Amino acid sequence: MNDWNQAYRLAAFEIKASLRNLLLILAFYIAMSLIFMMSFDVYLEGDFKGFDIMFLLVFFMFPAWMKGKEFQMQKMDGNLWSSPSIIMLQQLPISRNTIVKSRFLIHAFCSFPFQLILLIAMPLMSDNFREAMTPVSYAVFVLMWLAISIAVGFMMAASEAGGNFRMKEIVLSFIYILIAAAAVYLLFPMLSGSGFIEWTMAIAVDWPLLTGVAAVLLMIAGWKYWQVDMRKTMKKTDYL
Amino acid sequence: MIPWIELTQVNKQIDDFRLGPVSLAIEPGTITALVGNNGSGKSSLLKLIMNMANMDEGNIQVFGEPVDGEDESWKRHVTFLPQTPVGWNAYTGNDLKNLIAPLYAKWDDVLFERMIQLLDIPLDKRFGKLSPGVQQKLSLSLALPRHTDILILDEPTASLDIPSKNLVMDLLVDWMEREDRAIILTTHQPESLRKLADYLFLMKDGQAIGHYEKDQLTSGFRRYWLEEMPAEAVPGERSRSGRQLVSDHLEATENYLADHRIGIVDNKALELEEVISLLLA
Repeated sequence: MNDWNQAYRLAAFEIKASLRNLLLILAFYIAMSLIFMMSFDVYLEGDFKGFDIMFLLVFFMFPAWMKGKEFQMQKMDGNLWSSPSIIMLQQLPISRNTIVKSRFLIHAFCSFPFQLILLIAMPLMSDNFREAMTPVSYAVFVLMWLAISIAVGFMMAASEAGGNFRMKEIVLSFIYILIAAAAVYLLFPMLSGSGFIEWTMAIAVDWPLLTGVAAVLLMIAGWKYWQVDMRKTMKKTDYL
Repeated sequence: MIPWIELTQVNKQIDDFRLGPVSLAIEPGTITALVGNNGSGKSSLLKLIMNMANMDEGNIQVFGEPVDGEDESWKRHVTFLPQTPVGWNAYTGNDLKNLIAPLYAKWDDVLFERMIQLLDIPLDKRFGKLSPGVQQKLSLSLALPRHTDILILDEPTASLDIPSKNLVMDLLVDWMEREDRAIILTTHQPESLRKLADYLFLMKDGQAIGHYEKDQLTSGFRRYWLEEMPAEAVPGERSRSGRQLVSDHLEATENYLADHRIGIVDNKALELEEVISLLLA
């Protein structure tokens, strides 16, 4: 059985075990997201400054939270943090490559349908969005957000490998991430003159070809980078 | 004989606990029990063999392949059953069987069904909802039918009731007899040691105390009831209490007693757990 076939089998196995809960949570998150998306027009009119950060949270975090508690990263023995599935699969004759691929497939299953619904909801729920986008620029826009989903969102899948962390390290990392996110969030509008979603709409309209190519490159880079990163993390972590 | 598993000078620092240096060779056709106090590093050692953690120094090879190398195919020859399986809680017994069975070329469905019936295990309940004893029975039923060359079991009978414990020990003996195989297990259960182990690998506070052939170990220790206890230390003396003396150098002790005309009222070989307690004291 090659890596991808086996990874697909493992992913299907885990998804099947939590499918009912997963679908219920998915329905709940879609409903919440669509209510939130009703304010998309207000954002495009420049009257909802916090929309970007909320959209990014919904876009990246909801898929990560969709998995059952048993499958999410958690504190194990001592200073070990990991997804229990990672520990279970490493005790079986399954290569690390396959384990990594199966985690990415599961993350893709949890994220892509949900994220596509968000992206499809945009033209349906916003007159301003429909007016700004042509069919081509919209396709490029969707492609770019899926690329962002892989490049940034797959960090969530890679993080399931966990690590040996002390509480101080976790708190410090959390503070650094918050500072970095706040810096990007505050600096971005100053540099680009618009919010992040507006900016991605603008480049999809103004440079569709360049943006499309960049999106594909970003997808490939993100896909490869996080797999390598996850394999490295698994190799260096002590699952004791 | 070429060992199937070979640990050479393995060292690992785990917070303030130091495991090693440990050197150990596991040969085919043998059952080796890792025995030691709680926290002596037995489970950690098993996880190092499974490459679940990185060694600081040393080398572990399974069938000649370093476990921390790029080639992970050695895992096909090894079944590892941790004391508490992690990541199984969301799955039923049927789910777990469907996950595990296709991964092993020699998976034995007949043995699996037999164990499920013998041990009366419900396959339709989630693993996390089962009692610790039933969880252990299910884990064993998912381990033995893999028919790998090597079986690594961490406390395999700790939660079992007495009838199940006897049944599992019989199944393990039967499993060993089918082909050339090897088992490594950790246990605190004297009856498991007596019935299953060929070799004992004793550990204390992360250090290896010794690797012993079980029968030689028990025959090497004896308790003597003496007519009088000499004031000075007797050659081979391990402990004394009243007129009882325990020795691990029988010939030297008996020669000394004969030379000093001290009569032996009675003598008896030590029980295995007494020997282990002495060595781990």
